[in-house]
Amino acid sequence: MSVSGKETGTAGSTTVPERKPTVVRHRSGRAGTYVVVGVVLLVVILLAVGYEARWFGGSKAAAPGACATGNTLQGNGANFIAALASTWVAHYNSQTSNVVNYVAGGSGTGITDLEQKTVDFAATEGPLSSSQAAGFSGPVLTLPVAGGTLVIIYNVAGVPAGLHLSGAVLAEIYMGKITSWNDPAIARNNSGLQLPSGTILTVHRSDAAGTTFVLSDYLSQDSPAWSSAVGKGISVSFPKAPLQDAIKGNSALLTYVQTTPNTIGYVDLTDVLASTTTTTYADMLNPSGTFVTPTAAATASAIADKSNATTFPSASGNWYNVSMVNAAGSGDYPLSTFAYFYVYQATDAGFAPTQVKSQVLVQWLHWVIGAGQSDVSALNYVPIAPTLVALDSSGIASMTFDGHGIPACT
Amino acid sequence: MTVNGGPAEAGRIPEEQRRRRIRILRVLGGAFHGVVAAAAVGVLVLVAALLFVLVAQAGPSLSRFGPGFLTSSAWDGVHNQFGALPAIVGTLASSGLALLLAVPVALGVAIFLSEVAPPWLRRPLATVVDLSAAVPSVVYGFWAFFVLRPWMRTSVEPTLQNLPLANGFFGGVPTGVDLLTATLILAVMILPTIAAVARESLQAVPGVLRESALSLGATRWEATRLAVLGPARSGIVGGVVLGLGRAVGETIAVAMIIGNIGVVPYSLLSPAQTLAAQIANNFSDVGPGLEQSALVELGVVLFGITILVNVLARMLIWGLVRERGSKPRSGGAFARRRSQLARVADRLRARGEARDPTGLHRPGWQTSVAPVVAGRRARRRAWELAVIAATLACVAVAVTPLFSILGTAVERGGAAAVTPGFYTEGAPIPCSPVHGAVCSLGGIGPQIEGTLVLLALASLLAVPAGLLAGIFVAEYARGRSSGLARVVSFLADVMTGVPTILIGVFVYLVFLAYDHDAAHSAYSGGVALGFVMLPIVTRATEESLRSVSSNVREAALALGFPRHRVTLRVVLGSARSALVTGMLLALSRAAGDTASLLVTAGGSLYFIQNLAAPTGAITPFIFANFQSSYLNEQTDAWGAALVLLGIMLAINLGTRWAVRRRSEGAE
Repeated sequence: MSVSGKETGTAGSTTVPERKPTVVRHRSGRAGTYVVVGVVLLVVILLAVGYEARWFGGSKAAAPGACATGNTLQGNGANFIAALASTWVAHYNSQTSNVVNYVAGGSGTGITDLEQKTVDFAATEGPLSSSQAAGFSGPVLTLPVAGGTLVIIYNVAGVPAGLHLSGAVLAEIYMGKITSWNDPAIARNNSGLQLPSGTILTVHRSDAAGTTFVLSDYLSQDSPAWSSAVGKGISVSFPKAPLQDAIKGNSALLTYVQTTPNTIGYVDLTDVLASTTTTTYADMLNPSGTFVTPTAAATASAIADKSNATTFPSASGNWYNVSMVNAAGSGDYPLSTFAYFYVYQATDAGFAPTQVKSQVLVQWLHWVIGAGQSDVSALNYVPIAPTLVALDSSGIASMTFDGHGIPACT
Repeated sequence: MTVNGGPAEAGRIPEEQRRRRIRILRVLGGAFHGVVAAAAVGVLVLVAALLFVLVAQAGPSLSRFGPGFLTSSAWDGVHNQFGALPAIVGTLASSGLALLLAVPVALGVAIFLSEVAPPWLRRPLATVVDLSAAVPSVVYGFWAFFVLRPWMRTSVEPTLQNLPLANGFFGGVPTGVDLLTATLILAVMILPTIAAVARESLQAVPGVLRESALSLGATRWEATRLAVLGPARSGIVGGVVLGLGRAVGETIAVAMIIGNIGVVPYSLLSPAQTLAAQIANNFSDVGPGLEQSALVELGVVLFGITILVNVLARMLIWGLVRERGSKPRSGGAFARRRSQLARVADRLRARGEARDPTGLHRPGWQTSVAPVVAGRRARRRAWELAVIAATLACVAVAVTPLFSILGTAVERGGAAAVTPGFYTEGAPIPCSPVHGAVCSLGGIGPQIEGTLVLLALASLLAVPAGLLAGIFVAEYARGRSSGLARVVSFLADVMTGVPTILIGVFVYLVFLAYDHDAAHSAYSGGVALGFVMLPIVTRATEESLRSVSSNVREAALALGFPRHRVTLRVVLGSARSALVTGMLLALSRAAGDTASLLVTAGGSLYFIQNLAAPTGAITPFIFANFQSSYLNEQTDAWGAALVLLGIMLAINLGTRWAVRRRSEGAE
């Protein structure tokens, strides 16, 4: 467009020069804005185009035997292990130059994404039931990658950490049968404490969560009423309680309980210990009749004891009934659990499979149960025992791409 | 640039060549007509596809539960029982109550801005109120959770509980995460919308009505009430209904504060659920199956309610525009004006009549000045002052949230925003400085990049398509196609009010079926945002083109320009800066949208390596981290909110400034 100011506009009306625009417009101050806006848009589009060129360099294939680098794996799931997973991906990236994008969107999102084949792996503490697994486009592997601790947290004025709770009492609280903090059922196990009369506000997860699985598994074992009315799962229909709220995400649930009086909720130990706000949490009754304070050590002991009493299925079997809850030893913390990774056994059935990506996935899984285990204890999780590492390894070894085993790189 | 084929050149070229040129121009013109018509039909097809996909996906739930879905309170994935009643009641209760809270304040703001405030104050104040409407809903939710919620929990709700007779309404325990807080944040969010429409309606009332009321002895408040509010009524009601539409469709802020419990609320302090919030919170959790189908059916119900409300709002507002814009019939305008003035005079007199000792009945309107008793006058003055004070208070209430939001974001996120690494680094390992831990702040570089790339992709789709559809509606709506144009324009307008979570669900489902591996990717996120922008661009184009005087078109046509050239060169050129303003506003709306990205973009911790892979963006990042218990994630979330606010304010203030310079330049 030719530029016309006020002067040329008035001149144009008398002389009608051939190359003047037909419309007289007043454009003072407009050109500047237009240029700025145009440049901004151009830059944005150029950015996109520029990146496009870089992005479509394709994945870098490796020489036979060597490991591919510069590939990205997609993972989604539990925020129970969010802190551990972000440490893992950082260390894995620095050691292998491959990238894992783990989005802690919650167990439900992870499992759904794996089922919909939009991620390479999912993480959850709630193992799939056989009917859930049937919805997947191929057999999946269940790989325990760490042990963890579910903590019952509360915020009650005047009640310090270490409230004694049993599974049966907790079930009645979440079922709305015990409604006030000074209920005799709670007081019975807490003779030294002055319990207030406030109404209990129960908090649970609004999204499908592995922590909900562990809680409902525990409550199902300790309360027949819960077992028949609610059952266990990553997403259960919580009975109506006089006061209840539902929150999305572990970390958010923790914040909520910390800031709201008379609440009770459940989150992972790592989030609790890493919080700047001191959180009070309960000692839970275990089957040997002891109230145990949640610690990584008590969970490690529980998982060791329960593992001894458990016959584990193979990685391709069904783990729905494997439970680390309610170990029998006197120092065992009852709300213990594994965190699992889920992958397709035949990667072809999964998300945008390629030979190279399958190799990187295998490398990542091996790394997690190998080198990755050294990150676990520092974050108050529990490393998996050698027997389970062996079980995982044989599971990973059974993975295939295009009908063939996936060669490990070194 | 020279305009080729213009009449000046026509005489100098051989006849044969001239004919060929005309033929070519005809073909080009026809092709252009075809393209813009196709774009307009495309808008129709998209809306139809959205509806079709949603209804098809809801099919299993529809056939399983039938109408009982609307009256059942169950939501049980274990036993496959689903119902919408809690969400429907929660939606209607929260938006209805929000309306009750917002409308009086919005009216006060509008009256202050249009009738009371000194002229120099009007524009800056109106700007502040309008800017409140540009704050992204995720930021409102964030602010509600950290500022509004503690205040509600510790002061407001206990006070309300102590009110006599209030027990039924305020039963339960104050938690601050409940229906009442959700209602309040909704009221805060729809207030600027209602206030803006109401202000425009008041300002559209001819000044002569105001002035004659004043000259008849009315106080300013009486003039407003008797002479201005009446004619502005339908516009105000339109604004109110528009606000209702916003409230019904509001997703993210409500999801952050309402408690997300599927119970029919038993009191205002009860946690609740809304249709939009439930879909946003749970859609990504559930795979294909009855629960997903039931969630989509919630979406269909929501779609129905918002469409209904928005259609109602548009009809009311458009009715007003038609009324205002209609050409006066000969003598009609004068007669109408005279009867309006007579009505004002009558009303004034009716109020004064009891004190009217002269007993004047029905004299001519032009001669009547009702005598005013001195004592009554003082009372009327006091009343006027009270009203002025009240409207001033309304303005204070209306502008407080924006300043509080900005202040809180600066206070909590300012430290992040001034760190250069915040803009270049990726998300940190979640960490709080306890037990001697040393935490890195990390940054939101990938999220900023993601937002820019998504916006670029969205613009690539929405700007050309919306521009062409808008051109069709404004320039080619003649004869047979005028019906189509009206429908497209109306649909585009209504679509701007459809909750973006539904757009996200639609785009995700379509990608899952047709470009599976990119279901969570920059592409799907870009398409979703593009769909958010498309109706806004279409309407903005239409409005900008309509604002170009028809003289310009006629002059160009008379000079022998073909129609498509008139449109492309002359009309688009004249409307250029208005168009750019419209595009930027659409861009700003997309930049602040969270819901459509929740189920599409997928999220990423890293800079983009592949457009077909999951990508992060600023708004979902805030939504995911706003309640984090880790200090560095909290700081990053507030920093992200501050950056987002900065972007939104810059775009909105920038366009405002440009519009003002334009209109001043034109004077």
